[in-house]
Amino acid sequence: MLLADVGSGALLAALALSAFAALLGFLSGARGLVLQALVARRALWAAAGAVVVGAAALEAAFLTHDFVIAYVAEHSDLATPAPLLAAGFYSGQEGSLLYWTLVLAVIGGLSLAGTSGGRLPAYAIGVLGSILTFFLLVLNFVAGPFALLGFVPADGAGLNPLLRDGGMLIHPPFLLAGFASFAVPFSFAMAALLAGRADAAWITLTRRLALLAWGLQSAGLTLGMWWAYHVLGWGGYWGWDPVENVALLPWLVTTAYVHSSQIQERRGMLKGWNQGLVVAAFLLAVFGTFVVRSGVIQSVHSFAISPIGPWFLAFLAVAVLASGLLLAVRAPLLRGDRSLESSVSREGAFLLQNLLFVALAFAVFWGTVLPLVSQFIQGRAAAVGPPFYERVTAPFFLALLALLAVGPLLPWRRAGTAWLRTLKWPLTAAAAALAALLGAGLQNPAVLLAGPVLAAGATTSILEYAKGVRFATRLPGSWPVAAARLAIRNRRRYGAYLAHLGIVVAACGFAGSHFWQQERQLTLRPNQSVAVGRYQLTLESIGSASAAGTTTTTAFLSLGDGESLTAGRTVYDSFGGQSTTRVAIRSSAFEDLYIVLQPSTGAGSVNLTVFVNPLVGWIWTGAALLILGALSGSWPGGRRSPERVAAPARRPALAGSAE
Amino acid sequence: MKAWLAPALFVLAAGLAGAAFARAYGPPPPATPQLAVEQRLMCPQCLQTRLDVCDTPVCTDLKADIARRLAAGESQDSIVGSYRVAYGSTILSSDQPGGLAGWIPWTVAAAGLFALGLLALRRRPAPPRMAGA
Repeated sequence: MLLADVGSGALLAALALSAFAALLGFLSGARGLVLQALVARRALWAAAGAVVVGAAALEAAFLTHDFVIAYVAEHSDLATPAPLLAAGFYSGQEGSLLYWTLVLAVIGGLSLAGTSGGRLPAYAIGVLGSILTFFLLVLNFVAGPFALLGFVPADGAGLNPLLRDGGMLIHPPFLLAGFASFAVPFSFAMAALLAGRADAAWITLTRRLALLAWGLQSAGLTLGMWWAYHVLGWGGYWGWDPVENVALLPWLVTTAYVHSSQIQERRGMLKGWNQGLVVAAFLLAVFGTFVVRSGVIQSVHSFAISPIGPWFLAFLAVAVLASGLLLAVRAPLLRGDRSLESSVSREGAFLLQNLLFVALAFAVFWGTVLPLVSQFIQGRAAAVGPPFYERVTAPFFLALLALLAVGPLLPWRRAGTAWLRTLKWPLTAAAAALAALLGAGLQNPAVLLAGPVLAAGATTSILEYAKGVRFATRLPGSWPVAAARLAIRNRRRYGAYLAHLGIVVAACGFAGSHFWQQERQLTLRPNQSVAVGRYQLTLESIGSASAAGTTTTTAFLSLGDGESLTAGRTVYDSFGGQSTTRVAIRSSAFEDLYIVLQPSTGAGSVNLTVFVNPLVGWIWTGAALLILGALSGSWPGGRRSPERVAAPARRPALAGSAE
Repeated sequence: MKAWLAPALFVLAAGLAGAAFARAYGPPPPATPQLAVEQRLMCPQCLQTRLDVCDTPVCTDLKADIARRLAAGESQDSIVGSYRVAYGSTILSSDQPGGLAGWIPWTVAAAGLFALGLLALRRRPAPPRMAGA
């Protein structure tokens, strides 16, 4: 009871404090009140502190099996191992909302730490406080995590079987944190509009946080793919499920913003576009939350459905109206300082890249909402599957990869004919790749297009590092040390190239596993062998065990080289016969052998689906490089890029200053 | 070290690796008739899950039905066609929305590209002439 009281009280206090911070933030911004802006900031920090206390109370309730709290009883039991017990915190509706709120409060609070009294930060407090207030309203009055049962059950219901996996410890926290943290750039963008600021101060203030949010989203998506691959047992990692799609949408728009914000910083262009992208990314994150939790579109993640959908729809409507109105009113302020000098320039490449990302996001959005649209227009919900997404998105992805090979070589403002000479190595690599693929007898046009583009992209990224090394050899001292110093000092630049290289490596993985996947269905008896690809697979024995409402069947397998693998299937009687698989995976640098134990159809034998998935490991490696690049770019310090932030003159009162 | 050596070596290595990979992984072997039919169908219960990789009871029954009908000599197209009649076109894994629905993303992208073209071609003010020029 004590933990529930502490948690409820903390969330109520946080609601009062955040509402106060929001009101005072808007008031200080509008009237230029310095002292009140500082009070508002402290109120927001206090709200963040109260949310931390509430979250700690819920975590403690899980760890101490406080089953009087309904949420704890519904999402854990005495048998749940401690790490998964801790993850139970965000395994359901109320807890995941509290986690969203926690990240929003903490990162939002931290983002204000470097600012002092100014209209922009004051308005940012107002916007951040408003978003926080909405979440706390829902947590206090609609989906409270501290609701009590009228009795104390001897044991809880336990975690959903699908979530009983190590991936559960890392995938949701990263993805939710990525969504929640993008509220900070959104708040600062809105604050800049409210303050009438047309410069890039809001981008400079939130650049690292935006990169961090993008990195978190990237990590969350990758971990989601990794989890699906290792746990769901269908041989793939991305199924174009609506919930996967709505998680991808903000990432696509954020990726566009991460690039286009550089144009505003350096050239004072695309002011309105950047504002629009930040608004769209945040609104899409809220849209995703609405889709997952409302059940408005059918999805495999339907376990998260609850009555809070209408609340999120209302919040989304208010956010769309408010941000749209603000953008319309401030449109005259958002004209660029200069126009595009030449379409063959770095700015032109960024513009085209942005267009492709936005079109890609629209294509995914369209496929996701098509059931709703067709239901409304035709009275029949038309769902689309992976073939639709693959057909529609593949050309966009290919064009983006081609741009990745060319764009970094383009100079700012205008590219002369000398630029064409820089293309010689990417083009040579593309030609070599094409010759190699044709020489190997490949005729699939998609492969013949993707291979050269990937080779060109990889060459461009590596060339940039090679240029850095060449420059380092001319510096005093040993060149490896000089090169390392150069990379550390210019980590934003080299972080970006690392992220690009990661994209190319991951794209190789996507292409390899898509074009060359092999699938076999087998029924084996003990001691029976069969050849799959280059493997000689033997079923050694079959095991079966029952415990605590579960029945587990295990196939013990061996490969020709003596290695053993174990594929399992567990049926949970307490969850309506829901079953989970334990996929047997043997990974190597170039392929995965992936074995799924299917439901049994005959005594004394097992049904297996066996996949050979080429280059899947490259997806994880590429994603790791990408995230490392994002972290490197968002790490504090390093050489500042030539930003052209038009810092206003210092004035004694609030005048739009961010300092 | 010559400036061109590193990129040349990289390009050579990329070409060789590509060729080796393409040789090692030729086109996947053709699926068995059973698998070929299953890959053409979606699970009628789950979402976005192809029949061959779905393990729900309804899919287990469908797989058994396909096996029985193939053994009886029925053609793959006939089996798939019968499921289409029974469940509608959403049972087909290759089902695509035709007409406007499929074209809308492309239309939006084309409109964006057109807008970008307009932006690039927009007349810019001429640079100021120097006095006396």
